[in-house]
Amino acid sequence: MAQILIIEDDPKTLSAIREGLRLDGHDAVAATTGEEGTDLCRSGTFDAIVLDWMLPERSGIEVLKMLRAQGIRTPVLLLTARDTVEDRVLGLDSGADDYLIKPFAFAELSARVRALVRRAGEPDAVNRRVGDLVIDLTQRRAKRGTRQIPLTPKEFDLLCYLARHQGQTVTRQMLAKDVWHEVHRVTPLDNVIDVHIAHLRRKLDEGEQKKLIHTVRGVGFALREMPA
Amino acid sequence: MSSWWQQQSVKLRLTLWYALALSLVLVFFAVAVYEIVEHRMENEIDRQLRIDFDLVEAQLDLDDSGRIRWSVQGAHGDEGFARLSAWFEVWSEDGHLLLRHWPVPESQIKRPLPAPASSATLQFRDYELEDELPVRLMERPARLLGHGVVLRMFRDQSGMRQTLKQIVEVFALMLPFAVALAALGGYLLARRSMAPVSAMAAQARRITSESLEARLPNPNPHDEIGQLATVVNDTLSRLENSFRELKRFTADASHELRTPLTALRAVGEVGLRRPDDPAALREALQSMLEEAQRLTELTDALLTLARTESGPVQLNLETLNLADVVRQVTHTLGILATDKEQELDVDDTDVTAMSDRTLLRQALLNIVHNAIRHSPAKARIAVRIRRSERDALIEVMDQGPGIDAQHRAKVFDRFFRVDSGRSRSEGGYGLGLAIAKASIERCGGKIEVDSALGRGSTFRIRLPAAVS
Repeated sequence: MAQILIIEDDPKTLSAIREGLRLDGHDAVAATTGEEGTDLCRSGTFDAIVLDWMLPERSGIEVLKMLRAQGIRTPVLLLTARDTVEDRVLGLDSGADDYLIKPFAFAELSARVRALVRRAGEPDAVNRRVGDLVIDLTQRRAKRGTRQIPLTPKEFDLLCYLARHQGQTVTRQMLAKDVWHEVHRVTPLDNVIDVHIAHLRRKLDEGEQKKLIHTVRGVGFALREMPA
Repeated sequence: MSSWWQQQSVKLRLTLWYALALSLVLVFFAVAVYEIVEHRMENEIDRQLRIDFDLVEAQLDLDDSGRIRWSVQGAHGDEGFARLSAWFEVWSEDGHLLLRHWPVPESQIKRPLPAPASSATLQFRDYELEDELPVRLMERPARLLGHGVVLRMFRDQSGMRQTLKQIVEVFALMLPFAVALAALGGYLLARRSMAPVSAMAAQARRITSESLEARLPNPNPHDEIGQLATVVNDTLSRLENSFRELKRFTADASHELRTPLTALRAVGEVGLRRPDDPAALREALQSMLEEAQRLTELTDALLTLARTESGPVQLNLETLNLADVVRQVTHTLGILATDKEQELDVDDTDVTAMSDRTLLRQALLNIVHNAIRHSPAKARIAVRIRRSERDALIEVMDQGPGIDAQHRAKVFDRFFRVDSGRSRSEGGYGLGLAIAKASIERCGGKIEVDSALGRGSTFRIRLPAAVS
C-alpha cells in the first residue's frame, strides 16, 4: 500500500508497529536512531514517517527539523509521551503533520498513518456503503436496505466516523478526539461514548441478520460486514 | 572591606559596631574634658598674671641713679613669698632690658626670650624657656614715673601642663580598657541573643525529609527570632503534611497500579499455558488489552491530577458565562442521564465568573458525571447557578445515597471511594472528584459538599465573580 519509515528506539514498540503496519498492507522499514533514519530518508522515498520524539543522541525533534531543512516533505507522525500543549505546539511547529501520545492503541496509529498517506487526495465520497448500510452524507441520513434509520446528530457523526474507518478498529480515544472534539484524555467521556454506541447499535443492528457494529475487546469498535 | 565584613558573624559585627561607637563617644568626651580643663586653667593663669602685673607695677620706682628698682612692699606682709614667686622683666620702649627678676638662674634658660616688640600692646603667650619649663607670659605697656616701659610678667605653666598630661594619660589608659570591657559585654550579649539562631540552624540542619516532624526550638515566640522560628515551624508543618500526603498518594497509586498489573500478568501467563487453543489465546489477549487500557486511563488521570495541582497547565482566566459551560457539560453527559431515565434539570441564569474554561469544564464534567452515576434511575439531578455577594456559585444536587459525615471530608481525596468494595469498573478510580477539586482550586475557586445519608449530596463550586 505505502512505504512507511519507522524511527523508534524501543525494540518492542518498533517491532510491534512494524508488524502492525505490515498487516495493514504497508511496506514498513525500521530505523532505531535518528542518524539511521535520516540516511534512509535520503536514499529512499517514503509515503510517511513514524518518528519517536525520545531518541538516543539526536532527538526526534532535531531529526524532524533536519529533514524539513533538507527539503524532505514526507508527512511525519510524531510519537511521544509528552502531552502538554507546549509540547504539541513545539512538535507541530518543528514540522510534524500529526501527533500521537503514548501510550496509544495501535488502531489509532494505524488510522493516523492511513490519514497521512491519504492526505494528498481522495475527496470524501458523498455516499458510503457498508454491506446494506448506505449513508447519505449530504442529506445526513442512513438506511439499511430499505429501512430508514432515525439518528440523532451525534449518532450520525459517530456512524460517519465509523464508516470512514470501515473495516478498521477505532478506539474510544479516537472517538473522543475526532467526534466529540475533546482534547483532554481524562474525561468521563468513555461512558458517554459507550452509551452512544449502544444506541447506535440498537438502531442499526437490532433484528438484522448481519451485525455491522462490532466491539473489539480492549481496543474499541469497528464497523464492518464480517466479524474479523 | 565589604566582603570581609559580610563574612563575619552577626555577633562579631554587632560587637565591632558597638566598640567603634563607644570609642568615638569616649574620644569625643576626652577631647572635650581636655579642652575645658585647659581653657579654665589658662584663664586662671591669665588672671594671676594680671594680678602680678598690678602688684609689680605699683612696686616699681627709680633709685637715686635713675635706674628702675623693685621695692617690695609685701601687700600682705609676706615679702619673702612675693620675692620668690614674682617673675618679671621690665623693658624700655626701645627694647632695652631695664630690670629682670627671675626665680630661676638665667644660665639654665636655653631659649632666651627676645625683646618685646616696640609696639607691644597687651598680649598673652605661651613659651618654653627650656624643655621642662613651659611658661605663660603677659606683655603690657606701662608708664613708670613718666617713662614708657613694657612689663613682661611670667607664670610657670608646668603645673597645669602636668595636670593636662595626667588627664590625657588617664584617658589613654582607660579608653582601651573601657572599650575592651564594653566590647566583651556586647559580644556576650550578642552571643546570647544570637544563640537561638545558632540553635535553630543546628536543628534545621538535622531536619530531613525523613525527620520532618522535628521542630525548631522557640524559647520566646514574641521576639523577632521567635517569630522567625514560628514561621519556619509553620512551613515545616505544611511540608510534613505534603510529604505525608505524597507518601500516602504514592502508596495508593502503587496499589491501584498493582491491580491491573496483576491481572495482566496472570492472564498472560495462563494464556501461555494453553498454546493450542486459539480461542483461549484470543480471550487472553483481549483481556490483557482491557487491563492495559485501564492502566492507561489510570496513569492519564494521575498525570492530569498532578498537572492540574501544580504542573505546567497554563491558566487562562477569562470572564465566563457559567450557564454556557454548564450547558456544554450537561449536553455532553445528558445521554447518560437519559439512559437512566434521570431528569437533568439545569437552570440557565446568566452569571459570569472569572475562571479557566478548560479547568472548569473538567471539574463540572466530573461532578455531574458523579451525580448521574450515584443517583438511582428516574432520579432528578439539579444544576443551579447563582450569584452570592462575592462569588458565583454552581450547585449540583443529586439524589444519590448521600455521604455520611465521617466520609464527607474525604470525598475529594485521591482514590477515595465511599464504598471501597465497589468494583473499579463501576466506581471509577476515585480520582474524578480529586481532579475536580484541583481544577477549581487552580482557578482560585473552592469546592464543597453538603450531604446527609439518604438525602443526596450537593456539590457547590464557588468561583470569584467577574468584575462587571
